[in-house]
Amino acid sequence: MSDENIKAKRPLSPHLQVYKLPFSAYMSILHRATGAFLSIFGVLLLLAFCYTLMCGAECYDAFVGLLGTLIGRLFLFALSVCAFYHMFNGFRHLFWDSGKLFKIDNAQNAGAFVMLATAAAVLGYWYCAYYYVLMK
Amino acid sequence: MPYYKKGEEFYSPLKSAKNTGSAKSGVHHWIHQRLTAVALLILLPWALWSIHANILGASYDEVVAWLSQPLNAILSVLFIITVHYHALLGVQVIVEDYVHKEWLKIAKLVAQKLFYVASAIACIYAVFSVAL
Repeated sequence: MSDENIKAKRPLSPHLQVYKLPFSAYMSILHRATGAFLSIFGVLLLLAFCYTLMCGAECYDAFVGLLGTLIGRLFLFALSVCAFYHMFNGFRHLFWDSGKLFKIDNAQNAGAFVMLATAAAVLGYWYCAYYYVLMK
Repeated sequence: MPYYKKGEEFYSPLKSAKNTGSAKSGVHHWIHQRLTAVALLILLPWALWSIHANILGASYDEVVAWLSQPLNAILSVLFIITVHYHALLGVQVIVEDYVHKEWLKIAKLVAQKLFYVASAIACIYAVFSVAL
């Protein structure tokens, strides 16, 4: 075999501009993105919660009032999506770390399950929040 | 032919040259990330449940009363430590992967470390001063 033939037979590395990423690659990117979002805004929210609670009732009520606005609620909704997704997908990562779910079918099915679980958990959480707490 | 210990035949000579290799360490980072992940699988559902049951729609006094119960205060502190540590380990990897200018990378890593330690201490101080 000539050098030309060997070169032609070599597999090409995925060229990102023309390569269709598999489903699990998107989930991996999303895992990191949600992790970054939580690390910044989740931690800031936790800090704001603790700090305003320490500062007193007026401070805390202002904080809660801010979260109660439309933008505040959208922010909390986004944060809850990130938290549930990162938690469920993190669980999937722990399975991988212990050497399980490596077959492509298993990995993809677990990924689909993570997506469904995230949707169900987020909707359930906000339904309960509105139905049992915020509407009362 | 350089001397290799058995099992180290495939190590690059750089490892002996630089002693601990180019990354210096990493296993403890990986393990701590998994440990905090497992802890958060317990603590995050607890936190989400507490937000739903005790914090959403509750008055300031009710939230303070909730946090003043010892178990809630202890779990809150554990949650704060674990979340901050896990977040720090995560953003550290992101910066190491995507920031290639050496000075900027080091600046970001240092700033992150300082921020997360400071934030964790502020949160824990707040919980103690509310609960005690």
